[in-house]
Amino acid sequence: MANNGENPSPDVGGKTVKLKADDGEIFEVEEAVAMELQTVKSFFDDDGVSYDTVVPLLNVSSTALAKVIQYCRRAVELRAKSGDDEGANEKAREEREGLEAELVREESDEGIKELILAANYLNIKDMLSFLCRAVGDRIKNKSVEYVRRFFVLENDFSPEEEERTRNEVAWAFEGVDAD
Amino acid sequence: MQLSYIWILDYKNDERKLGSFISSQSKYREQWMIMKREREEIRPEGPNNCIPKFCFGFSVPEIDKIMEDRLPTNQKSRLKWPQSQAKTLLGIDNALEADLTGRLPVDILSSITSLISLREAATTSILSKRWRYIWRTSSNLDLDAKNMLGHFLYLDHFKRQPTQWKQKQKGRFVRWANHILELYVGKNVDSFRVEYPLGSDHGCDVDRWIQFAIDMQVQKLDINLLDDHLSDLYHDLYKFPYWLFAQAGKRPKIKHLSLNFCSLSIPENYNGLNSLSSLSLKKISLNQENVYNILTSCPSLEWFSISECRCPFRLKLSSGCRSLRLRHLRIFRCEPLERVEIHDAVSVASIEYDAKMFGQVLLKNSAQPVRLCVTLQSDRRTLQSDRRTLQPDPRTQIAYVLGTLAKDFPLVETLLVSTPYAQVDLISKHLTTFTRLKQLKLLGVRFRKILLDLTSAFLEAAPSLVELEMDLHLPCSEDDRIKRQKIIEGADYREHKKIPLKEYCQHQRLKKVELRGFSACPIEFDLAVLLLKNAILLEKMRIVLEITPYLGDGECWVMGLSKTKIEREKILKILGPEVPSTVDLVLV
Repeated sequence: MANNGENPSPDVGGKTVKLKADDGEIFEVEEAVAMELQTVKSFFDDDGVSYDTVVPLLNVSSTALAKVIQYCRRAVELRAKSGDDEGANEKAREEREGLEAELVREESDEGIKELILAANYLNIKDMLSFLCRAVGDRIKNKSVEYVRRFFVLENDFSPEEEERTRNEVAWAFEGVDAD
Repeated sequence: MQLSYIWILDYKNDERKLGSFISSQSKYREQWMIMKREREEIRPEGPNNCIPKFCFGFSVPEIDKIMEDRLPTNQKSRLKWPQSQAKTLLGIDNALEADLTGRLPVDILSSITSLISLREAATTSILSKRWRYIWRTSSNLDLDAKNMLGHFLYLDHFKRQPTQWKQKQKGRFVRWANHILELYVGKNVDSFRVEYPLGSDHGCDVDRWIQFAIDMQVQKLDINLLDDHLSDLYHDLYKFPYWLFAQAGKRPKIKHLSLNFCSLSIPENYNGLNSLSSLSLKKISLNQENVYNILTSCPSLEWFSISECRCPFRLKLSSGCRSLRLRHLRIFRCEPLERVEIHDAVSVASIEYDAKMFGQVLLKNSAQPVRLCVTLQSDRRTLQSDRRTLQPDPRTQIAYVLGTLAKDFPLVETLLVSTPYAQVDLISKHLTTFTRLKQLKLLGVRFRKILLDLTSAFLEAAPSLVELEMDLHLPCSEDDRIKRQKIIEGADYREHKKIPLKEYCQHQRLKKVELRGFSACPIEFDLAVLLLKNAILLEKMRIVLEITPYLGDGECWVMGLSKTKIEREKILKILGPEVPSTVDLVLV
């Protein structure tokens, strides 16, 4: 699968780590950025693993990995910027929120799900949390049919089962007509 | 379905007619409800639960951290200024391929359902077999009327008075809550909230719910049983079952506790609640002994907020020989409390208190706060018990703020002055200087006649000020309304008034100004121009149309726009020519 963004190239001079996506594409990233991915961090925490080893990330597509790396890179930069200064902190926080908003705004529903799977596998807590929030916002106030389509779900209930489940949560469907 | 969407949008001005037709057609019902709900969110109206809140923070990093920690994951949106989300129904058709490999794992789905309301989460149970139990592992449980009834019934629910009906509804709520807890299959609840005016009824059920929360290792517990219609407020309240927290062999986990309308009387040095980092009490009866016991039992307590509680005349905050870890303290409208002594609070950074306690908040062996919030009292005050002869006078209060406050708290860097109802006519010229003050927020400003004088006085008293925020609640008289119409329509502000800028203070450091609740009253334009011209180093002026009443604890409501619709473009047109080239004017 071709990488549709530029393969983000690392700064010269720092230590870098190589990550391999599911289609074999290799991404070279700065060590600080790679350590944001807890899965990668624990890979190197094991004894005897040299930093030159290519980390195989078989469950992550290259498009998702590219975006994850892009996000983590900016996040690390922003964190370095915010020091003790109140104003800088505030600004960095706003920028981070802007970054997150931008990332989710452009993603299709499929894209967001893919990113969640990647962030989950790579164990990036912050990214996972804002992605989940984004999904929550997308399915809030939507009809049941919409949510089914979002998650690509088949209604596999038998009529009796569906009836029984609906009864359990009947209160959540009430309220169209006045008391 | 396309046609029906367009139809609905066309009829948005004639809701009622369309509403009754649509409700009768079940296939459009859902879309109609969604659209109505979305529009409600843009115009917040109705009970307090519906008005969006904004946690703007404390300007003290350690306290901001506690503030964020206290928020349940499904309320983290309070940290951002509420955006009116104009979602269009027509954007639904993304061409979704049936990609069956995109199955998200169950724990992620559970996190997602924890982020939407309980009511909506429950509807996900019919999505598919796999989803049937997912909502039942949510980490946030909010048992309140809004989730039980849904938005529209909730708006009407508390309007009815008859006691029999209310009793019946209490029973209904309890049955519903019990049902939810029976269905729950998760192992961990992060935030557990109960909000319903049960008062002192159904105490056994509330006990069981709290036990359930403890079993689920709850971190944030919020119990609000406030019943506004109970006449004798402190009689026979629900006794918060603190004893449930000390269970043999288990270390208590609870970090944030918020109680409204209960009674709390824990013994001294009680172990069960020693993990508490924040405690927020409202409408609770407290005496010196309770408070001492609370402080000794919660050695890690960093945030302590008491509002509308019954307290004795004097209160001493101390935990014996141990120092207090308190960072944020709030005391709001506690009667008949007049004096507070804070002992050994070596990290206290933020104190919020009422003007009637001016000069009576004494720090013994404690740090000096960097953040202060004082709430001025109004002329009319409702007192619950015996009437005190002491009537607060807003004039003396403002005089105190400008004249003496800086001496009492010399290190203050952030000052909030909240004036809920006060109307003041004159200020004395006796000023002391706030040498370290960098950020000033004047909230709920209603002083029309002396608005410019007051602003100038504050600027003079705070030469190092960098940021000024004013939340304006200015009433507009009939004359003003006429003038305002003229200004807005003709955009002829300049002819309206010439402000004697030289009479007002010039400021050498002020960089940022924010004016909220801007309703285009003529005097507000005067204020904006005064600040634009007299603040020499000004870099940014932000004008926000929403009114934002302060709620305490670093939080405010965002109450939507004032009744008169003022177009942002018009305001820009009027103010534009007055803005110097070095200043960035932003209208939100």
